[in-house]
Amino acid sequence: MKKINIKKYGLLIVLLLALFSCSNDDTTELFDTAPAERLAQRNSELLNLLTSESQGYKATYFTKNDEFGGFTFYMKFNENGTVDMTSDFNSETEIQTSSFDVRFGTTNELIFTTRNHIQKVSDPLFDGLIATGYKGTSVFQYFNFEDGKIIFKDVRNRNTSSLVLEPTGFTNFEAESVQKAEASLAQRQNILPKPTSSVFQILRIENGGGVSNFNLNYDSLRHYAKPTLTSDSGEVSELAFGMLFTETGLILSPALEFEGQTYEEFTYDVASNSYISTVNGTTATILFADWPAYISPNIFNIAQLDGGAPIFLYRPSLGANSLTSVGHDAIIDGLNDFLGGFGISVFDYIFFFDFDDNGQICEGQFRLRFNGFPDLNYCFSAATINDDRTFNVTFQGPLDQDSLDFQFLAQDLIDFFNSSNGMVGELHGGFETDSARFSNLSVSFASLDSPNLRVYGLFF
Amino acid sequence: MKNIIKIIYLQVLLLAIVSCGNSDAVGDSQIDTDPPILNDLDLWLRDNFVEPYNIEVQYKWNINETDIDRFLHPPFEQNVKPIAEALLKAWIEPYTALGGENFIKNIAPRQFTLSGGFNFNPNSPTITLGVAEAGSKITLFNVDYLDFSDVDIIKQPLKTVQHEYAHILNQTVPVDPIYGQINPENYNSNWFNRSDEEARELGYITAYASSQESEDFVEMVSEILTNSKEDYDAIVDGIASEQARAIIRFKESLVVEYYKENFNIDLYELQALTEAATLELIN
Repeated sequence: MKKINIKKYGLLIVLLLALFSCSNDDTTELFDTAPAERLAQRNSELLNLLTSESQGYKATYFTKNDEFGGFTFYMKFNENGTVDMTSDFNSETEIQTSSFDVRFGTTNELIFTTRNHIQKVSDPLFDGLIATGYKGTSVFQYFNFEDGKIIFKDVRNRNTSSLVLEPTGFTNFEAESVQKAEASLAQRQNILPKPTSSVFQILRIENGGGVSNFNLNYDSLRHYAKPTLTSDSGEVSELAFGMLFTETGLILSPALEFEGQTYEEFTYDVASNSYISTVNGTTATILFADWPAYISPNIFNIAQLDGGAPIFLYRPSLGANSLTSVGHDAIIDGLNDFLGGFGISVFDYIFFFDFDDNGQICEGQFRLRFNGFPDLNYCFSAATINDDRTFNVTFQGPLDQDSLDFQFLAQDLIDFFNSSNGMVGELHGGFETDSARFSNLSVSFASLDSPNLRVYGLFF
Repeated sequence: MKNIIKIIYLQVLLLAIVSCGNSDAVGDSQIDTDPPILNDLDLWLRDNFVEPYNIEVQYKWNINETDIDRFLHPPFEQNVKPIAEALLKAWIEPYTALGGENFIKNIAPRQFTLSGGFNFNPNSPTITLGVAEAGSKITLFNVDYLDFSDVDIIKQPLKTVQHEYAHILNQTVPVDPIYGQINPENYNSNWFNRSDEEARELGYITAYASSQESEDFVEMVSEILTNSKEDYDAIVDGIASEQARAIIRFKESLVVEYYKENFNIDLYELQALTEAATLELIN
């Protein structure tokens, strides 16, 4: 009997199971579609966003803002899978057509599947950045769409890259995109020194606390700046940001943050040849100043070299260094242009300094040497160091008749050294140019009378 | 009684199973099965590579197909068809002519990936021209820099393919181990410190051939198949060391024998066909 009862109970349990096993005990659904559907929807959303703008997008792309600045692209995505594009990367602004795709990779991605302007930033043959280019990519992860902007990142440089697309608002993409690209490319020239530009390119921040002058330290190859602020005690604080040039100015990434204010967009002021950003009554300005942000005490070391009589050499054939200013190059080029017709050219010049002032004539000497012409020699006073770490050498006259007769050839260089407001001397370690490297101590001298003039050379 | 209980059990179990059936029909696939947009180039590649040889020529960028840490980019679209035609004419067709219609169909990489730019090797003064992966895929770099008016430049990617394809053949039929015993003493991983001329004086046909045995063999193949008989002989005959010349000629004989015995292909005949096809590619 007991066995039969167990079977009956067993049957009852199975019956109950059969009845209740189908009850719906689902909890609240977080999503109303499956993951694959949601991914497909997001792909579709991105594709629709890209192709829905008939006049395309303006794209600002920072490949890696801890090393490089950025570039602007204009791109129009077509429903047939092609994209028309131009950029301000270089002077080749013609619109090119290539392919693109929106697909799911590490996440929803926009991929420029064949080569166009965007791949210029990942060209490993780019001069000066061999093997890496600007470390750009062809694959962008879709992060967000907010305030009308589509935001992407490069998974390799997740925290330092950004590609931001916003509608162009053009009425004629083909014409206006190229115009805009060429305008921002032209803007990039304004930050570069011209023959008349001061060599003292600084970032000046003016706020309630006063004026802070940073040496800008702009790298025109990388479009990157590492401004340094040096206190009188020699303590250095450094900033770092990439620059992206626009038609009207420039954008910094990462934004510049200083004493509680954030400066990101700068407007170019033609009159002062400077970039200005005004935030809450404070101002950040990138400009060519008449005076350096900081003068090091290097002149005291220079004065000790070779028993106080260091000999400086500048020789163009040793190669170029950007510390020699465009203005100084213009003097040498002008001389060579004039002398070329006579089969003569500038070979080098030497300045014999004497920091031990005995009150005698011709303690310092300037010698200009040519290929195919006698040397010209001029007397200068001994070098005297001023309280502000500048120094002076004063022109006294030609050393011989030839030097007098042909002084017009040397006059610009004489004037360069004969700077009544003084000169700035900075040491730069071993001598290095684009074609030579020597262990000799290198130095630059800049004029404060003509701050567009600076020369880089070596002591020997 | 027992049977009745069993039948009831069975019925209840069936009820339990069937009662949970979801009456909803299986919906559409959640995977996007829409066909991709195919342009004229895609259609040409499908007709000339995918359908006849089951080889994909992937020129549209997929970051996972190359080293993610290198700074590489896709090629210009207009540069894809010329290199694909070069592969067809100077690699596939000569092998097909001598090895038979199914030769390439049976033994071939299943995918070519094309990269537009140069592939610089980090911390090394070298670039990678091509990569072969497990006999299934060959990646060719610097496709955007091929000048089809210069035969020497065009031979560079073809040499890469001949080199990598010889690796694939070796994976199908291994090389006689005697090959590696001919002159192993100068194999060196720093091969790039040697010039081709220096390597030849040591009995290796190129500097890269002096890196290791397997590269030595395929470099012999690729040098033979990217030079005319006259040019190849001139290279070998120009070697000053008599011993080095003899070593290279012996290696050549093993390579010729390998092709003849294993694939019934006369390597010199193949050399003539590839040379003629290559010259026809030049604009």
